[in-house]
Amino acid sequence: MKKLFSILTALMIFCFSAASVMAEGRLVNDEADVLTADEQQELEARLSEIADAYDFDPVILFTPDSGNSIVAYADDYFDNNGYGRGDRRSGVIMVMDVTYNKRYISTSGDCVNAYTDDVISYIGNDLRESANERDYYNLSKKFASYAEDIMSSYRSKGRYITPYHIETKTLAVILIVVLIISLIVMGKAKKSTKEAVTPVDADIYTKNGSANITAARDLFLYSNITRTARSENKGGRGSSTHTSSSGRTHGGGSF
Amino acid sequence: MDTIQNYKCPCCGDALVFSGAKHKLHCSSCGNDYEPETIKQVYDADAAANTESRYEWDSYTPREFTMEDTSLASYECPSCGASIAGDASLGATICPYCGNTTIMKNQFEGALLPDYIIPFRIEKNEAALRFRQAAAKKMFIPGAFKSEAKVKETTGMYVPFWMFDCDADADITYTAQRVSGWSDSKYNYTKTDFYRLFRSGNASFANIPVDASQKAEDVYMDAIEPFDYSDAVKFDASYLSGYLADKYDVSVDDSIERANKRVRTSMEKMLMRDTAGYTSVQPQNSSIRFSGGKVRYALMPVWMLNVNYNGQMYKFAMNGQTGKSVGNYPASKAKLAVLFMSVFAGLSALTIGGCYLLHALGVL
Repeated sequence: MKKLFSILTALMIFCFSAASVMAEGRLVNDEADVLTADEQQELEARLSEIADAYDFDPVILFTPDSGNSIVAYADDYFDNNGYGRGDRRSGVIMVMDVTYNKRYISTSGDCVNAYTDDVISYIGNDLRESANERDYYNLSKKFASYAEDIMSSYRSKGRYITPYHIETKTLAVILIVVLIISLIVMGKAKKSTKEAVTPVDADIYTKNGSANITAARDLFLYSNITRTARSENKGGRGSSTHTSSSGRTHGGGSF
Repeated sequence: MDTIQNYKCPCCGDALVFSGAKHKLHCSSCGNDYEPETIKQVYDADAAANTESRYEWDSYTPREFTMEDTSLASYECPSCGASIAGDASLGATICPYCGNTTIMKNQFEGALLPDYIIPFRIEKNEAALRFRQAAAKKMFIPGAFKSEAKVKETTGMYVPFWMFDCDADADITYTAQRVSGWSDSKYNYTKTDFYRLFRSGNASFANIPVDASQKAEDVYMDAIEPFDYSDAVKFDASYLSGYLADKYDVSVDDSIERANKRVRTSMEKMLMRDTAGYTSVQPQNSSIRFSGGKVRYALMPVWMLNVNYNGQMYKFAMNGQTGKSVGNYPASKAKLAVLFMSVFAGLSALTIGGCYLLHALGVL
């Protein structure tokens, strides 16, 4: 009995230790050694908290070499290391190739729907700045912050609404059109004060019942058919997807 | 293959040839094929619509005004040259056209006898009241105009008009297009069907008025239309009592083009209305013919109002039968500026806010 208790205790200690090791290195993978130990620890804790709160794996990987295809590298890294939570294996991985400054975000499960092309494009604009400055710690913090916002919004509202800013050119067009409409309305109002105008037709002097159409022929002559190539649907509000080497569906995009 | 040289392609204008194999007229230039019957009908329609337009009016023989009533006098305005008939007992008056107060009273020398006259139904006091009521409804004139404008002079005057009656026939051809579209996985398709339309129609017009006085501004006289002709009566000089009456100094021939133009526009609009259902329709050829054109001379009741506001005179005319008042009011710059700013700010907010709303709804 005493022996059995010792074995069980040793087993529990082993399992606990193994779990601790996995948790510490699971979500932040710094193979390029660009983060300090404290930074890694802090980020790991933050991502773990987000992962538990919204039931998905947000993963960061810094690598010195992503091979020929960073897309395939990201997908395979996610698939082969057992990431993803739930039946759909929901998760997102940001891969940063620090040697060639290549970046990619790969999504899986619910994250495919949450990280739409528009969302990736939007957060990519922000992440790109830190990536180009090689500020990897700040890049990771931003990624974690967006991961929380996006999945929080996705879980509660079904989608993440990216902040909207009207482009300067669009705004200029809107203001010009509104200006023209305003001038037309003002012109019509001014014209309404000038009542002395000549009528152009004699409609009111047509004798009742005297107006008749006596002949009407519509002769079809010929047709022209033109065609234009449809613009490619780049995803818009949806998510572009592809299949990884393991046969699983991933979304994602570069930034 | 027999060449038919008389027919040209409605698409490109090149010569059509008959293709025995297809039993169609073929254009080797643009590649279109046509049913021979269709091309024949196009040519028939074009021929009808290419007929020269005719505007036939009976000549008008004026009748002298043999007035036994010597109480009429002739009032001459030395400023604008207006010569107006009126009651000899009218006393001091001002020129209804230019506002000059030094009117010369002369011996009445006769005029042309109008075929009919529409007597005044609106009295002088009511005319001033109706003017104020009309001004009160104007949104974009200065508020002070409504309260401070003074009606300096209200003159009742019979204005000479030529009245035109006619029957009109019109043949018009149009080119028309109907555009439709569809898509498959790779392309968006646009199909444009080209048509030649032919419309024929007729209508009768009665009592189209054209102001026959040079001094009475056409735009004012046109704008107080229409008159109710059920009140028209045979001319009697007694109707002139208490009013001025202008004499015509624009001949029928000089007035007739304005009537022609209005009838022509009405016929074109009438036939165009019958071409609905196409994406675009453009008139090609048109032939409009008038028949039974009759001309009559009539006097219509008009109140001429001279209104003083802010040291400036504004002219208004009022239909003496219906009370319809027209004139060029001063525009309020302040009210127009407020309108402009409101529309600009409102539309801008609506459009920009709409963009944000559509984005939040996932449409943008």
